[in-house]
Amino acid sequence: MKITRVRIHKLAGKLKDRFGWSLNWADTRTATLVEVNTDEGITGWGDGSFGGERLLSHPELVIGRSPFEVEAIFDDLRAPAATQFDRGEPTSAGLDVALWDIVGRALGKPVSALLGRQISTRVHPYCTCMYRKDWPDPAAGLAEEAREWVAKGHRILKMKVGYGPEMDVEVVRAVREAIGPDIGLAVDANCAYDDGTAVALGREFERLNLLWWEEPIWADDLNGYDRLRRMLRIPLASGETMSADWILRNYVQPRRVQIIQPDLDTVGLTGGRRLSYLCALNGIRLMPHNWGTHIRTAGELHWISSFPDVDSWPAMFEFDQTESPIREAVIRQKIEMDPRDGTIEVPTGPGLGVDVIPEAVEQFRTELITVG
Amino acid sequence: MKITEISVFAPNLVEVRTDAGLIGYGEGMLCEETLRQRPGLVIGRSPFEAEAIFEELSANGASPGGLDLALWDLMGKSLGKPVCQILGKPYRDQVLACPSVCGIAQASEHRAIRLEAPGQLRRSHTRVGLKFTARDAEEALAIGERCEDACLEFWESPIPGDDPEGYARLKSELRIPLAAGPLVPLDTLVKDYIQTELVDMVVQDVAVCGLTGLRKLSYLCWLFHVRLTPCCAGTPTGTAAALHAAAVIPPVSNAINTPPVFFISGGMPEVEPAVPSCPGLGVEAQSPCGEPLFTLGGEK
Repeated sequence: MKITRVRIHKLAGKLKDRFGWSLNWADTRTATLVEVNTDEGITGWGDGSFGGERLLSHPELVIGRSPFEVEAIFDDLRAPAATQFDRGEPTSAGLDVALWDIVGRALGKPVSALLGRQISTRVHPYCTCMYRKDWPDPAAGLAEEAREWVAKGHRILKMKVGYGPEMDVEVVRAVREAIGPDIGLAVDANCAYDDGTAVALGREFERLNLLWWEEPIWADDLNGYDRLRRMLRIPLASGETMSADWILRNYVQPRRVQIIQPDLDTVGLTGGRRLSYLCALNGIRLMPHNWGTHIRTAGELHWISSFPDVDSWPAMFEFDQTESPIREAVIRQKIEMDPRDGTIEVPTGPGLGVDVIPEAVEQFRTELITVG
Repeated sequence: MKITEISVFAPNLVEVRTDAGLIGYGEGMLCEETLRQRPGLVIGRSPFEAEAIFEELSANGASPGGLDLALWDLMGKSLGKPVCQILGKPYRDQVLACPSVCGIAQASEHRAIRLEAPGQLRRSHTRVGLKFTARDAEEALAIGERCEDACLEFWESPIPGDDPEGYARLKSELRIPLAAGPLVPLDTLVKDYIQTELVDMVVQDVAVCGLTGLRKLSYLCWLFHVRLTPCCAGTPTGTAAALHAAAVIPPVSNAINTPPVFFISGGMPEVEPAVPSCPGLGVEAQSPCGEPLFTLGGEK
């Protein structure tokens, strides 16, 4: 079997209402889907980076090769290394997932059977929600929204902070009061603070029984993370924009954070598998970030199903519930949490186990790039 | 394609048969007791589940190396590809051989040798490694001080067993690249020796850790700037596996005369053998001799 063509579909979908976080407001959701075709009629899909300039200027690194060369292709598509540096960063995570999809379909096996030892058939999601809306009273608005998510059966919620210490304490306190003590609650500052501010704010957060604090400071402020790790009793989480190489060297090996959150659109399944082993060995919780379509969600379910429980913490990942016209629309299957136990089933069909709807992709597509 | 039967022939040839008619061969220990109790860990599964099988056998305390090599042989044969192309990114199609010898006069043609005892350690234009285990760190320090002028390529297993503190002491006092050998279990090796950069090199036996294990190590060793050297007994299957493993190990640097990746062999291979290019491990069809020592699966 040989790869014959790669198509990159850039999608955009307008939101009904804008939402915001510490860095920005958004009124549109976007996605990059990678479609890989083969000479045997099997097509694979991924959601994420596609190889960029490296693929466009060297299509032979993919076209004409077997999808079973997935590891080699992942490393071949790394960006050129900076001068005096060893290897460049990977650039083809989405394409990587598409190749795993093809390999699974060709073998008639779900990706979870091929990645490694499957430990879970059902995975725990946490609900990403509670971005900012145009509320006159953010605390009241967030509290109301939190109650709605709990009513739907969600057991762990993650909300946005990073609007200044006083505002953050007010809104988190309001949400905690609204949902009670038994629902898990985490906060995400999207790198809003410096470590001095974070350590003071963290002291207040400690009183609110939070499961983790995501991205309190810049991801590469390593000294800052060391300080927060020493001073705060809240588990720290980070890593959503970083490669597997970077995360392993800077977060996992030094145990700098308790939770790492790589996203499949950056690390791919090949990078994800490399991460899983060392995280498990070091007792670091691997809890993937997920801000994509359900093609990405499916990939993350397969990936996380091979990750063992750490410190009695079950395998868990981000289940984005914010508004997105694209997320569910592009696949035929539904990926839903069972409210009875708060888990999601790992797909069991071949490959990723989801089928893409070409018409939906076309509906939201703003740009198409074809290679091969 | 499903695995239907596993057999072991003397001395340690592992044969795996499938319902597609393909047969894969590996070499090394086989976890017979574990497989007898839980044949479903392998029988009836696809060879492409090699990673899962490796992890499940390891989790059950079994050594998966021999079986793992056979599964990679099957995967390559099934796809019509040499193993190195599906194992990782191939960086080379020839690999420098490093025979393991007792004296420096042996292997006169080879550009890399591993001596099995400290003695005459120098030969010009030859990379010389040492595999010798001292009684303890004190003795290792004494020997090491005498060896420092020899410009050793590596000193493998200088002290017994799993002893990170001992290695740390040697590293702080000796100016010799230290190598952890195959006797350190894989997880311990990664956690205590590789990610901490406690050693400069790791030597791993393909028959023990298999190609799945070597692939995990290849990435992690690169990540933490530790050199990885596969080793084998020198049999055709073991040598082929070591060559495929060495083919996908990232280079040490981008320098023109970068130190080579090499493999250590118990036999006397060519100076720089080619990585097999036939499907699978690329070893010629094997005809196991005699009755199998162990068989699992097969037609009832």
